[in-house]
Amino acid sequence: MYSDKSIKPIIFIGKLNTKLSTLDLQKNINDLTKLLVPTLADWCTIHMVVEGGNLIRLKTFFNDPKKANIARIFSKKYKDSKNAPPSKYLTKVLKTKKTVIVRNIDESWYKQAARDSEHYKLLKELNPKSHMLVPLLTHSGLIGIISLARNKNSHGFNKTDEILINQIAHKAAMAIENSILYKKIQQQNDRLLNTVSNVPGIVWEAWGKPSKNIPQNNYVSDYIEKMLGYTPKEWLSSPDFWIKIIHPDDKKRVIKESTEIFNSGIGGVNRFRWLKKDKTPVWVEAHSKVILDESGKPQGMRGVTMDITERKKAEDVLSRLAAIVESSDDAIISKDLKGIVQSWNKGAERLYGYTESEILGKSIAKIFPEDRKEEFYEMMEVINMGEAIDHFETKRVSKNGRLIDVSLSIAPLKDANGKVIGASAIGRDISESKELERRKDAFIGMASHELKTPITTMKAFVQILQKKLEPLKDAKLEYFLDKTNQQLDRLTDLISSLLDLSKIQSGQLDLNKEKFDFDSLISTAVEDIQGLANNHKIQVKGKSGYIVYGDKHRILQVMTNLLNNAIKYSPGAEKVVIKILPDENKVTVAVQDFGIGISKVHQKRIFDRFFRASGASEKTFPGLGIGLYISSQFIHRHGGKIWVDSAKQKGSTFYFSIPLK
Amino acid sequence: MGKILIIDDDKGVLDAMRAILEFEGHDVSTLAKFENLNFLKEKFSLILVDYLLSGKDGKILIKKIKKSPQAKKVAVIMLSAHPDAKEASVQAGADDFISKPFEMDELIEKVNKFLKSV
Repeated sequence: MYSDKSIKPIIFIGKLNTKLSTLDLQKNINDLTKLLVPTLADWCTIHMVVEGGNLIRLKTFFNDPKKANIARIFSKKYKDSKNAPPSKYLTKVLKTKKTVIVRNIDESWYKQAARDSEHYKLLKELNPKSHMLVPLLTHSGLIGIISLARNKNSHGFNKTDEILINQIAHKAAMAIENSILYKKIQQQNDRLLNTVSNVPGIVWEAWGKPSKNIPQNNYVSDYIEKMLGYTPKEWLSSPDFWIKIIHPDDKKRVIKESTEIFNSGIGGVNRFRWLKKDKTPVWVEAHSKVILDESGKPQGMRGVTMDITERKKAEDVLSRLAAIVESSDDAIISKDLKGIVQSWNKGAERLYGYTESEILGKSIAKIFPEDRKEEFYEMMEVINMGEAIDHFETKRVSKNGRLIDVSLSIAPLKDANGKVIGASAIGRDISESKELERRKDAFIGMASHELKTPITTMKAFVQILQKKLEPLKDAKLEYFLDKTNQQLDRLTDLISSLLDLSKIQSGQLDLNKEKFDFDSLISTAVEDIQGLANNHKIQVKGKSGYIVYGDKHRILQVMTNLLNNAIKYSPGAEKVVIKILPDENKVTVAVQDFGIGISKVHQKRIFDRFFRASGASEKTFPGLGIGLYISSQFIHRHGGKIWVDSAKQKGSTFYFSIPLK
Repeated sequence: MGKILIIDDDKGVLDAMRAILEFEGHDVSTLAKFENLNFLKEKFSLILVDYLLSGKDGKILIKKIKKSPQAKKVAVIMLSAHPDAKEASVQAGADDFISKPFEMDELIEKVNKFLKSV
């Protein structure tokens, strides 16, 4: 129980000053309640204003220890307005920011003070005599409310009490505000330090000119040890430590750049290498901000320096790739799925005539000739399936309207999730090689024609000789002339093949289609070749009975070629088997030998131009390597197929099929 | 048996063909160069023409021969080193085609066939 007679206000205020000088909020509150109870009241409650203008009960303290359990209920159930609204008195002070005194409590007080029925009961139990509410005011406004009560045997709060308690409240408010601010600052500081320590780079502050730091004022975050192996202490041991560890090749430049950044009075970014404690280099990027004094003069800098070694590596790779792309003679471009050009190198500029700025963001359709516009959609269809197109020969049109022969390799561009987002295209000017090819084909055509003329003459004379010498019955002479004639035929075949090849290459291969008896064509081929084969017996199995519409001469050539190969590549064998396999809508022929066979690797390319199997066992067989290419072209021109099935040392079976219509 | 004219710009071919046909007992004239159709003043039973004559097209020559009043009924066989030239030769009006280099028997057979029908 308090006794007002013992109070000496001056002493009390002095006590207040020493008690409330700490920056610890909780301690200040505790000290405040102990100052008030029991000296000025029997119990008190301190509410603080929190965000949103709501009140929160910080502490309720009773002088009577028996009432501690009521204090607990108050602090638990009536801590805030969650369970019950604040009393009318609290609301009033919150609004008016003025002291409220209820000198003598009567029933009407209970109605206003009770938060709910339970609170009412508890208040009844407490049965106070007098109640006073004092605002805790600072220059920024109301920060809390002190609520005091006296028991029945005391006198009610009066004017003297009001003055004294208001003075205490004023002091207390300032102390509480200071401790709150201090707590806030401390929280911010903690947050900042926490953030700084989590930055994957060093945060630093350096006073003075970059070349002449003043070490005692400098700061560097702990990350320095992780990044460079040096402790902050080592770092701060000398004013120009950061300069000492710069890579010798970068030092001069970095000092110059940093001085410029310092003098700018703003800030800047520079990149350089530091040498770690273990002497390995680290690429770093320093983002600096200049610290100015009141007059705007640079005093120092603070900033963040990041380890960019990995990024730098990636950038170096990228820039190297970019340099390769840029310096390439080929046109290298990229486009999105709509065909909008995204990148365009110098090679593209040279080939197509458009500069990068002219075509970037525009449609690639510009370089498609009118009659090839649909190619774009066909290509994009393939790209959308995630597939590439290799060495596709086509034409494009340049800015000045010139048609260019190009070879294109197009590949899908995918994002990190593997989704196709566009395409890259590498284009090569093949106009020259195309022209060269055209000239070469013309040359081969002309040359083979020219070669045939002397052969015609030789053949004619050899045959006259044969006729003239017939009566002599000289077997040796006949043999010589026969061999000469055969070699001339071989030469003729080779020349014919070259002529066919040049026609295929120049797109001048014309088929002379007619209806013919397929089986008898096979028989003709067999008869022709059987006549020349010494060791092989050619067997024909099956028949089609079909009349086929096609170029008889060309199909005969294919048959002859396959039979010649079968004999040529099966030197030890005794037979070659031909099967005629008729079908509903096509006829297939199989030519099977029992010779050296073709390895799997070579089977794929066997129908390529100038391809010849290059194993040791094949070296002994002469030839140009164009026979199967020509045959495959003839069959394809008939809409048919040609393929091979073979096993090393077992033999090969070549098939071709010709559609009936 | 009538006379045969061979027109080819290659002297070697002319000689060889002449040798074969004369060996078979034919009366043969050869012509390597011509400016106009004056050579048709002589009467031939068969004319053999090369497809590609230097500077001139054998097909055009055949067309002219087939239009000329003095030789329009004369059989013409075309020869070429291009085996594919057969169709074009027939279109130009040739009665037959022999690809170069030819088998002697084939030449003799075709020549005889036309001379017999004359």
